[in-house]
Amino acid sequence: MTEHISVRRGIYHDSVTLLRISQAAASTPGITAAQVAMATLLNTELAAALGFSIPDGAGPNDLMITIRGRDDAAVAAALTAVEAALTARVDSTPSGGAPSSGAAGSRTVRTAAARHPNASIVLLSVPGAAVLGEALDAIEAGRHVMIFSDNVPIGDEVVLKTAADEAGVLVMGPDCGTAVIGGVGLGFANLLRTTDSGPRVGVVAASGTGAQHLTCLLDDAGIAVSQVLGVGGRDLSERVGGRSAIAALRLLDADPGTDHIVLISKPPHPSAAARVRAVVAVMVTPVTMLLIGQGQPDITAGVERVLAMLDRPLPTWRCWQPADTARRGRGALRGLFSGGTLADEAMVVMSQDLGGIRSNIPLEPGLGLPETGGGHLLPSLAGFGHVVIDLGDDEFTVGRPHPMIDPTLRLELLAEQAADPDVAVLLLDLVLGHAADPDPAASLAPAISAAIAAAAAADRVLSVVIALCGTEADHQDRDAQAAALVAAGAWVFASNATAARAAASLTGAVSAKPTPAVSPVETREPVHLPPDVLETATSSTALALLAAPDEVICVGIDLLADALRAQAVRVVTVDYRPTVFQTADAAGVPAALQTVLADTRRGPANALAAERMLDVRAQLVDVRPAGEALLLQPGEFCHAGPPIDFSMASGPLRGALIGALIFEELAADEAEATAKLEAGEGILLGPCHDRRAVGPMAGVISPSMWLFELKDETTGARSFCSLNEGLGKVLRYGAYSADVITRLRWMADVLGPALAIAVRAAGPIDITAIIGQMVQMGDEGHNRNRAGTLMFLREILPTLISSGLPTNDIAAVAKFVAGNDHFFLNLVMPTGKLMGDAAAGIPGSSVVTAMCRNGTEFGIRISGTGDQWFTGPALYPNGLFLPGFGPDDANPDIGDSAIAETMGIGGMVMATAPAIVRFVGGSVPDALAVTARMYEITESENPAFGVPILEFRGAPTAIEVTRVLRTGILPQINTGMAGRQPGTGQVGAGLVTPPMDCFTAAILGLAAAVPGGQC
Amino acid sequence: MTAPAWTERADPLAVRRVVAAAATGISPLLDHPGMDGVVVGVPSQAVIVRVATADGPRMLCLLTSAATGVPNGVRIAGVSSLRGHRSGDPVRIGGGRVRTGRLDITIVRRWSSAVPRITRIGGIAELAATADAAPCGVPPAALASLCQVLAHDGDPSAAIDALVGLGQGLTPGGDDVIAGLLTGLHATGRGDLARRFAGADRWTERTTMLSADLIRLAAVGHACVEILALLTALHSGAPLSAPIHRLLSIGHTSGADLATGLAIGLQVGAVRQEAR
Repeated sequence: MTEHISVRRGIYHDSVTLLRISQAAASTPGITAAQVAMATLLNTELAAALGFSIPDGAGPNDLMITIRGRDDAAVAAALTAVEAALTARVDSTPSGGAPSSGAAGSRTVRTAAARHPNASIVLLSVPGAAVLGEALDAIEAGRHVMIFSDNVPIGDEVVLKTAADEAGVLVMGPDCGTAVIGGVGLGFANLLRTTDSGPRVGVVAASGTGAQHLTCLLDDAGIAVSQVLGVGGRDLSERVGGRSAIAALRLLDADPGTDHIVLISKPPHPSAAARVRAVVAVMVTPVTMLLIGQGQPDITAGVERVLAMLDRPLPTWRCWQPADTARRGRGALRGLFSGGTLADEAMVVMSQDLGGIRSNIPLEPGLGLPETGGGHLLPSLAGFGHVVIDLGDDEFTVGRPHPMIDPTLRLELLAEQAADPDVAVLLLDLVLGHAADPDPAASLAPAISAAIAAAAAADRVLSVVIALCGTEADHQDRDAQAAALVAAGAWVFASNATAARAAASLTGAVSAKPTPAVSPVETREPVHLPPDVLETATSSTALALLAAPDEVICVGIDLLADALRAQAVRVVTVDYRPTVFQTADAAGVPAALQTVLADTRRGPANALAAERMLDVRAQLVDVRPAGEALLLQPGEFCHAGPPIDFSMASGPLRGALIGALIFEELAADEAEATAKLEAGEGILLGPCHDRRAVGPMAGVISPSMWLFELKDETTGARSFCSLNEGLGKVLRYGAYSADVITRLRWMADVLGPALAIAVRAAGPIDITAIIGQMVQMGDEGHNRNRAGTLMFLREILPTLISSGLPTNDIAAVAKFVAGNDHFFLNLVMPTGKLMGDAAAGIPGSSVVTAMCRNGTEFGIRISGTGDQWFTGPALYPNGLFLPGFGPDDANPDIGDSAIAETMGIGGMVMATAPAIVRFVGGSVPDALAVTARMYEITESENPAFGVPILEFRGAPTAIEVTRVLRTGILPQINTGMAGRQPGTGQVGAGLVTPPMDCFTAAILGLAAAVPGGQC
Repeated sequence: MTAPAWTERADPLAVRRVVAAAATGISPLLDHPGMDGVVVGVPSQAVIVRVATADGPRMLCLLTSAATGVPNGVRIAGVSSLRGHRSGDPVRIGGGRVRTGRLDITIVRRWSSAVPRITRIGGIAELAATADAAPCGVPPAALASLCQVLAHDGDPSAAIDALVGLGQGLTPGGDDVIAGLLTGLHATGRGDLARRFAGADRWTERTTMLSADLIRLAAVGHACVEILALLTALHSGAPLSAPIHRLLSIGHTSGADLATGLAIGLQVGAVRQEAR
């Protein structure tokens, strides 16, 4: 025997896909056991039960591969199969968009909805914690949402349903297993008849299997079902208050194709029930309420009541009997259910005969099963008498497919219970239909035969009773399934209540108790109101839910998408991947993200932040020395990035500061400057950002340097930026040799004053307009500014020439500007600063208003948290090096120039300047893909900066923190690279991103700022 | 990596197996054990098939995702083009399948094309006004004479006959008005009038085969999904602009003509309802 156990971090696959991969591995010749699953508590326990020793530290976000086989070769072959299956998943990017568009599949529901305006429904089956963001995207896009996922916090449910009410859409779920819309089954649903004649029943269901059972019985009785609108098991709780049930009831009341409505639920909370009854009272369509619980009629009785109201004959509910019906044992009953409501109903029915039944979903608190110690999730039931287990309950589905899809857990329990000498009867439900096991009897029938035979070998009689929930049209072939089960010795009933009664009687127990009173089925007869009385809140959007959806957006389990495709529905898949946070503060991040997503201020606040960014109209109004413009005093220096001490400063920043001291004549040479900076006396360092300024690379500004002064036409706000020195050995890259200082002096003596005269004479120069043109001319405004520079030169040349300055100076200025392709970068940057500042300080907004780096740390600011910096270690850019330099010479990322990406250009519009991706060996499609990806994390699009190759789509603008965290997509930044040694200058140019730490820190800061939120 | 798009066409003669949804209007054809049909038209978004039955000719339309949801339609999921079909191609229909030389279609779902009975028609004036404002495919005089005879409770046979085949296209404007009229009568519970006005299949020779089949279906209470959505909105009191706009976008003037007929039918049905 050979074993293989491995754990992989940060790989996510849905549980159904993993089940298929596990099966592929297990079917490899020579393999005796194989499990490929996320390392949840339940799955590690199952692996442990198989005898594998689980590595320490494996958690629910890790993929666990456990294989046991005859020999090394067999295990190796199985591993190869696993690898192939896993890789196939990663490579099969979902189709979407034209092949030439370079656009990958949508990563969020927002993008998918924008690309597919006709998809009226979004079906979510992502892990519970990821539901909020995706569902909010759907609601904001005006789409109905079915949330198949469980383990969704109830607070999230309230947030979603409140938002849905406002948007006029329906949220079905969370934990909504079943819906049928216009004949299309979503999730687990049966194939129901479509007829044009006779009454049609619409169903509002707070119970998935309850709805399936109800509709299957109606179908058997020849009644067509118009719609099944699931609302989720908690909808009628006190906190949720029946929000979705009420919306669904109103919708069905508005549907001319629905003649009768059935509401099926476990008994609702009285307050929710009162709200529902108030709505039902003013509805036109008759309503039957089926509340599954003690003292309430069972589903079968409810269906019979509906049939009576519709004047339809009562059918004989189907039952299939085994050959030997005389065999009876005596003992305990064990129920192993996949449907919670069916388990519940069975307990209600059987408790009349059997008394108290213990359960993981007990009818009364006293009947619960004891907590199993040591995280043991598989219940040991010996000695508990009659027990019913709901295997579809949340505790059994963390990291595992639902038992309707994966029978493994139930088959294991079935064998275990059959071996229990106390047990005389096993009661199971078996649900057919879309998305369910394609041939459940194939595994269940042999298990039943084996169980009966094992009991017989121990001289016991074991009866097996099955409630078979399905229709004649279901693709599993109900009659064939029943025949196989009966052949194995089981009793099979179409009615769960009948099955439960049969099972109770087969235990040999005879009820001594009188039959308890059962309430009559609660109905509301038809009301005939004059047409104008109907006060409807139904919107066109809501009504779209009543027609068969030709297109559905699916996120999560492939199986559910496949079930829709099999029904001739076009499926749009979202390439959802959970983000794994590996930052130091990772533990609190998911909760903080939920808090911020649930903050209702966020949507409007972000919209406002984006609007303010887009409204900025930046104009160059003056060129002035920093001492005058920023009120910088001698000895005061601004630098790029978040605040930093000289002791922590990186090489290029140190070099630039040394050069600035020499330039300001505060030091004669490097040694003196370094000594003064280290001593700190008379020296004051501060971020440019704190003085409304920005500076590229080291970003050092000293009082004698001249600055561009920009003004926002809309608000009057101002921003400043130094003049660009050119490339190579320059101060901003940390060089401070004599030629650097000489150039700075010329810039202060000639260039600055000349530009000032020219700009003042020309009047305000519209920089926003030039940026709009440059991004259509191959510039992305960060690493490529050639067109912008030339357009700027065109603006100032006439007034420069007529300035009266010496011709030599004019020629030198013109030559300097024209000879430096990056001259315009220093006009892009203060425009970005104006845009970022315009969006700052809006409570609740999660839009990024500044991104910058000081060569050591990357820092970002968020609108909703004002001036607070969220920092992480600056990363090393990836790119091309100037001759003579290599990766070892580079400093980490540095400069305020990432304000270009903050404003939506630079790396964000890589598509417009494909040459930039060649820094990293990329191609034109890569550039298109980068920009397509950036739209996933931005709040808005800026029509002023249109990207021609994307059909002039506006630049992706206003980076939003929750979208960065949801997708794991980081903003793409194009940048220059400085040498790590002070004095080196530029060593190359390339691409970089902020560290994720900035965004995880930001979400914690934002969450702390949410009123009543977490701290 | 994903296969390049062109591999889909690698074998131009391969028969593709696809799944589709069908209108209940053609359930009798699909539920039949097997019949032969022939392709009679290939407009851009559909393939039109004629089937000879004991009850007369019947039509079936294979639809792309963009085509109108006609009540004799078979919509193939996610197909944006039905290229490769030609008039005269044989088609086999029945047993829940439709097989052409290019496609082997399994019908996995039915949608109800039956016109529901609606009890609230408060938005009818808006419908009528919007339909009036849209370009129409029939001369106003022909419409006026129909309206006049209906208003006076007269026998509209002659006025209806005058509309049959009137106008241009696959479904001439006059036919669309008639189909809308019959649908409006069904929606207001006067299917009896619809069947009476339509009479026997007396127009097969006077208009296109497709149009005659759509009138036949309207007479027995089947309509396109665009009309059904509008009726649902009318019944529920929801805003009508979106469903009306969707209806008007059908064909050249077909949507407007259907809407015109529908408004007349709803009014006539409602009035005769009260008179009854």
